[in-house]
Amino acid sequence: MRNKPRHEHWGSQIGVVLAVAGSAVGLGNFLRFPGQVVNYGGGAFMIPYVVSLLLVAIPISMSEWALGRFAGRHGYHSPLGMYYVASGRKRGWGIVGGMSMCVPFVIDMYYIFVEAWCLFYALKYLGGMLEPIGLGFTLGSGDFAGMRLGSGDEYERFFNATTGANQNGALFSRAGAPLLATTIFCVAINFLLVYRGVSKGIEKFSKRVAPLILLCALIMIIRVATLGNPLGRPGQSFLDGLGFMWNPTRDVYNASGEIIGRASVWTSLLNPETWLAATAQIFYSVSICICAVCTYASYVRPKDDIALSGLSATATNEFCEVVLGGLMAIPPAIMFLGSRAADGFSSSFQLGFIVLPNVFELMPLGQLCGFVFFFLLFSASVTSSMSLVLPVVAFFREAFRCSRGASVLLGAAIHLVGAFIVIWFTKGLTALDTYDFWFANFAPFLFAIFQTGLAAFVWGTAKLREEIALGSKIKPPTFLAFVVKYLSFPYLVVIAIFWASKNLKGRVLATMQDYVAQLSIGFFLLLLAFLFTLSVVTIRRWRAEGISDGYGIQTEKEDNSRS
Amino acid sequence: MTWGGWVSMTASLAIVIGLFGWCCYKLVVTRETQDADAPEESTER
Repeated sequence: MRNKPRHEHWGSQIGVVLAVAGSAVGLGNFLRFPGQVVNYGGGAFMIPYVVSLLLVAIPISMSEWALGRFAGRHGYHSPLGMYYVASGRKRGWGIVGGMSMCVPFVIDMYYIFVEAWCLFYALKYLGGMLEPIGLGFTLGSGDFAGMRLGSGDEYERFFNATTGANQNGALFSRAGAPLLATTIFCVAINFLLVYRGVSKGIEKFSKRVAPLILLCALIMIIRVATLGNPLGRPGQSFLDGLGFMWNPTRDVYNASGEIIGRASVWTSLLNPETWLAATAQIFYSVSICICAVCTYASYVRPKDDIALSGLSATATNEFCEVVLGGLMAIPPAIMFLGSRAADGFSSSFQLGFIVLPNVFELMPLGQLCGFVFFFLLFSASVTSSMSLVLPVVAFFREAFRCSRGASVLLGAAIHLVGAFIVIWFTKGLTALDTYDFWFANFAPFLFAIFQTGLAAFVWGTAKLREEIALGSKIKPPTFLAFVVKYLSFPYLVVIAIFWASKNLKGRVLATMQDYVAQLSIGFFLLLLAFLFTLSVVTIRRWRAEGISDGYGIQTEKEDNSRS
Repeated sequence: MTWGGWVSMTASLAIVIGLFGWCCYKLVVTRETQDADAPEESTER
C-alpha cells in the first residue's frame, strides 16, 4: 500500500545552516582538534589543516549539498535514493548508497552512549557530586580517599567505573543504572526530535541550542583567559598554555625525558603523518560523507541557496573548532597540571573525561565550569547524533513507504540492538572502539570516495556546477566542480590509501584476536546484508512500478523531460 | 609563547573568523530575499 508523504522543508536558511553546523560541531571540535594540534606540530599543523579545508572540506561538502538537494527535488531523502537518482537510476550505485547507510546507523549506536556520558557528567557537576568526597558516594565503594589530588587517578577510576570500562555488563548492575537510564533518555530524545520533523523538531532544537553552545564556550574561554597564572608556577600561565598548543617549534625528548633537540616547522610539514592527521581531522570534524549533510540538504527547497548555506555551515563548524576548541581545552590543562597533562592529549576521552575534570577540581568556580563544559559537549553531541538518526528514518520511509512514526520506531528498535553490544561489552570500551574505528574513521573515507566519484564522474561536473549555482545568493567559483574532480577526489584517494596502509593491518589483526570486536563486526555484517537486501528490493520495486520519484509522485517520462 | 606561536595562532584565528564573519554578513544581507521566498509554508505532517 502506497503511503504518500507530503514533502518536508526547512523553515529558514538560518535554520538549515545551524542544523548542518550543529551536525558537524561535536566532541571532535572541542576535544579531538586541540589534541591533534599539540601532537602534530602545534602551529605547523594548521598549514595542512587549512589546505585540507580548502581542498577537501569545502568542495566535497558543497558537492554533498548539491547531490542532496538534487535528490530532494526528486522526492528522495536517503542516500539510497540520492545515489540512485544522481547516477541516472543505476541499480549498482543505488545499492552503494543504501549500503552507505551503515555509517550513520552504527556511529549513532555508540555516539549516543558517549552523549550520555556528557549528560551524566554535567548532572554530576550540577549536583555537586563530582568532588573527591563525592566519588566514593557515587560509586558506592568509598575507596577514593587519600588518592593524590590532580593525579588523574581518581577521575580515571571514576570514568572507568562510570562507563563500565572495568567489566562487561557493568551498566546493568545497580551502580551502572544511572548511566543506563541516561543513555535510554538520550536515545529517546534523539528519535523524538526526528519524529517531530525537520522543521518542528531538528530546526527548532538547533536554533535554540546553537546560541547555548556559543554561550557555554564563551563562559569557559573568559574563565580560562582571566585566570592568569593561578598556581604561580613558571611556565603555567594562560600564554604558556596557548604557546604549548600553537608554538610551531618544540623540544624533542628521548625516552628518559631529556631534551635531545628541537623540531622545526619543516620537521612537521615534511612528515606525511601530519598531513594525514590534518585531513582526517577536517574530515571527522566537518562530518563529510556520513549521510548527514546530504540528507539535510535534501529538505532544502528546490530553489533555495545551497552555496552560501553550505559555506556558512562549514565556517561555523571551523569557528567552533579553531577559535573555541583551540582556546578552551589545552590552556587550562597546562595552567593547572603543567606539561604532564600532555599525556592525556592524544585521546579525546582522556582529555575530556579525565584531564579536564582534574583541572576543574583545581580551578576557582570549577564546579560551575565543569557543568558548563559537559553541558556544552552534551548539547553539541545531540545536534550531531540527531543528524545521524534522520538518514535512517528517511531510508526506512523510502524503503517501506511507511509513516514517519513507523520508521522512527523501526530505526529505534534496530538502534537498540546494535547499541546493546556497545552498552553491554564495555570492558576496555572495546566494542565502542571497534565501532569508532570502522565507522567513524574507515567507512566515511571509503564512502567519500564513492560519493565524490559519483558527483564528479557519473553525475558530472556540469550538473554539479549548475546545481550549486541554482538559487545561489553568492557567486560560487566556477572552478569548484573542477576542484572536486581533479583535486579533491585524487587527494582523497591518496590519503585514504596512505591511511589504510598505516592503520588497517594492525586493526584487522586486533579485530581478529578479540571476541567482542568480532561480535561487533559480525553485527555489522548482518546490518550490511540487511541494507543490501532492502536496497535491492526497493530499487526493484521502483523499477517495477516505473516511477522515478521517491514517493511515486512523478512519472519517469516527466522526470526525464525535467532533466 | 614564541613569535611563531603568535603568528600561527593569529593567522589561524584570522582565517576562520574572517570566513565566519563574511558568511554571517552575507546571510544577514541576503535574509530579506530569503524571507521573500518563505511564504511557501512547511508542509510537514
